[in-house]
Amino acid sequence: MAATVQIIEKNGAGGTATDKTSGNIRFKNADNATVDTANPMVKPGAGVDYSFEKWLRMNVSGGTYTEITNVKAYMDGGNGLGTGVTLYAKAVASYATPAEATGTGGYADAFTYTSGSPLTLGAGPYTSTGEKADHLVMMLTVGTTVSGGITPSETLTLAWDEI
Amino acid sequence: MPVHQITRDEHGHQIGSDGTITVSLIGNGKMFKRRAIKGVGTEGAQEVCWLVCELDGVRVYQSGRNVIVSRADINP
Repeated sequence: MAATVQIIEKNGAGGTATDKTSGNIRFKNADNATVDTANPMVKPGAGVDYSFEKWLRMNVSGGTYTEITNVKAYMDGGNGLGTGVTLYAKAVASYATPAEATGTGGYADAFTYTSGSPLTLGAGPYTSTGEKADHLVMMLTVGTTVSGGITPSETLTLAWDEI
Repeated sequence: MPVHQITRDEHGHQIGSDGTITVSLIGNGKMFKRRAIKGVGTEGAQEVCWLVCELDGVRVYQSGRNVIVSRADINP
């Protein structure tokens, strides 16, 4: 048997969870999990426009396993989001209501986290069901060189060891 | 992509199988599953499961018909 794992997006003061394992995550200027064109990122006249944070976390919803360890996240190494778009990531233990980012302090470019150098979310061991490891907090900026429209999707991987 | 099952045989050896390929660990090593969800947040998300068998610092990674033997820590 194996653990049944979801990736959830958490929103609002209470951290309402939405299963995003195979559902699109839309970076926008609002705190919600809805994939729509409301509250879009805006090309700035100068500087960058920051998105609201996306708080993502591993959630074991069922299955049978002994323990999970070594939870990590990484990208494919190449930013395919387009010119002027930068994606940032960091690990945070405790949930806070997602806010519009105001800077990049504490973050690193998400595409610097690769399969060879992933972002560690928790060593574990973790057991039973529920949310596990740190939150993966991501936010996106668009700069003055960005083109309009919806960006291509990018490949985020969440990996873990399990016995 | 099937998720491997890890069991022990009557001699206490760890046995990992994806239902087609079986890997047996003879000795005091460790065996675990390295699982991943690739493409999180997209409609093309895929689950991946590697069987990892480590003995004296050497790891065997098995996924389908592909096997890697290395001392490196490799992620899917």
